[in-house]
Amino acid sequence: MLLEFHLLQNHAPSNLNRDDSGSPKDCIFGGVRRARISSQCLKRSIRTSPLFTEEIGGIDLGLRTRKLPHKVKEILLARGIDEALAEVAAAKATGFGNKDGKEQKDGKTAQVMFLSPQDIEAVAEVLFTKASTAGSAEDMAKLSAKDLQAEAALKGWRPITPDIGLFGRMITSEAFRDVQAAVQVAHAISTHRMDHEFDYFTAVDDLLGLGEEEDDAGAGMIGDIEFNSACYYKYFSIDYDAFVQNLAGPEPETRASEREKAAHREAVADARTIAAKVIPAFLRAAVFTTPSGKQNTFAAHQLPDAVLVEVRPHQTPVSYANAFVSPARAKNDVDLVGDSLRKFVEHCELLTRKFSLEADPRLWFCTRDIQVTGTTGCDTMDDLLAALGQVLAR
Amino acid sequence: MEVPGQPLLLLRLEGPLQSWGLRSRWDVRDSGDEPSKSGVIGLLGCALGYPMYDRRLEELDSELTLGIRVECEGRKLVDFHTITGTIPMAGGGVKGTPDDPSTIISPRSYLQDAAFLAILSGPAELLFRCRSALLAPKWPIYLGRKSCVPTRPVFEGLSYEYANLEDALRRHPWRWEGRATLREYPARLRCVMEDPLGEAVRPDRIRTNPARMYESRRVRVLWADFPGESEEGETCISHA
Repeated sequence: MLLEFHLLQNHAPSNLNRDDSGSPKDCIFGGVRRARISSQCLKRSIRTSPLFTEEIGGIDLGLRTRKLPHKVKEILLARGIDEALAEVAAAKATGFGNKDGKEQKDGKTAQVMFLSPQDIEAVAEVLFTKASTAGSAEDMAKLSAKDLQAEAALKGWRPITPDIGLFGRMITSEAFRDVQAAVQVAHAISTHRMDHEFDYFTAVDDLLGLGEEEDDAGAGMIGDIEFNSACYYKYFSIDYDAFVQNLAGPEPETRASEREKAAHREAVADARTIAAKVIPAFLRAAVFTTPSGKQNTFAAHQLPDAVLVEVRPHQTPVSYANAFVSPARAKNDVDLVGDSLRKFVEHCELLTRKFSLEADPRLWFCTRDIQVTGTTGCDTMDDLLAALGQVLAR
Repeated sequence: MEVPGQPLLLLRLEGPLQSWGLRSRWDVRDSGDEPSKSGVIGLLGCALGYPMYDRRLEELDSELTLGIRVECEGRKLVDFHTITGTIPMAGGGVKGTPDDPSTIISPRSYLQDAAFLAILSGPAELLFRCRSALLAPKWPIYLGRKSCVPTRPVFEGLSYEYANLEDALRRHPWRWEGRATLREYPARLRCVMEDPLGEAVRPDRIRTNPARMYESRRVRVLWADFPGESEEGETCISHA
């Protein structure tokens, strides 16, 4: 099952995502220049939004940290290991996350790792066993972090948190597994031709004229800020099966014991429960969060005018960007959003018919009175999120 | 009845952005001018459910021959991409602290506004397996990089209509969803076809060694006269 989210969102003048010269990002599409917000920018704004965390509420999220040794020491002390031994164990933990197990002098791991509480627990477990049998801190110090890391290597499978399951991770250590992201986010592009605008600004000295001589009539400084105003088409998808598998672990082999199989069935059921909460939270965050670039200057906090959710049986992603390959534009009595909506709906209906694209259900939210064939209309965003929640609960 | 030709798998690779890396190492991620073999094999691997480093990807690579026709040449875009945080250095040290993070600048190239026809020849059984996988892929398909979402299902058809790969590159009807934006149709189309005697080299044969070193293959560049546009409604020939 593939969940596809299509958004149309019109922004007032803004500079949400900049390149190395401070200009808003852009690209060429359909032969003309378009405004663009990069994929990585959109993902980060969602992942770090307080709304996403709040909505998920109560489910553990991963930690992006270098302070694994601190956590390990905490756990060891709590389990009755004495201070000196726990200190050495923490030093050993600094060697995790690099291939050679080189211990770090600053008491942290060399790389920032996206870890689940279970990852941390697994490392602590290995060090706890060693510390309990080592006898003295000196003997413990002789152990190599490289060997310890190998011992903490994945024996079977260890849970990860939903944010790691969605956005993926890559760590160069055998103690933690790499995770392929279940989310796919396209670069958002404007539905229309975009021209860069320049805001010429001056900073006038508040104390102009103070002193005996008039210093000058002009400004303390001048400059310009580049910006644009654009109606964006945004595309997100979540590979539901990959997400559930990321959380529940791989299917046990056919020769696995009945107990292992039952445990896996239970893990899948848990993962589905988590997914039913996390996926609507992701969509809510995608709808209500905008990238933060230059928002103190522009405050372009506009919400989407349309959201289409398609639940597809096949993992065949289709972006509707081609609705805008001939640019939308405001004309006579139709505004830019109206023309973008018209093109979007026409193209979506056309592609669905031409390629027999299956989706059940298709949920449609729009701030204007526009229908899309074959969709269930949702009056409010809450209705749409609730309907999505129901799909995921079935 | 006509004698059927060689079985060929036809894919259409279309989307606002695509990225087909050829020489990327570390921070700078480039893109070639047309889809790479490793990229197309990876796309099929995605459909078939072969994970990274799976030996079966190498088998796909050696069993399939790839021809690309450029329906619309793309233009390069370099995206200014930054990664901020504490960054491990080669010598084991660390740049930046959580309170004062360091930034890596990682320019990533894309092709914008490009469209390609990719044709694969190989054993019929394998092509049929790829066809079924593309109709119900194991993982979502993308055009070289995960953020590059196709604007139509990439599967165009499995055809016996052409004598061979080159014949198909020359004769298969041209099509591009963005055609309305063109001032005129191109007179000829650039094709890049795998050929052991070809004059050019592409360093993009997929290999599953841990260092992810790729091997080279030879290709021949040929120019096909514009073969005519496919009729409206033929967009989704499925040859089911």
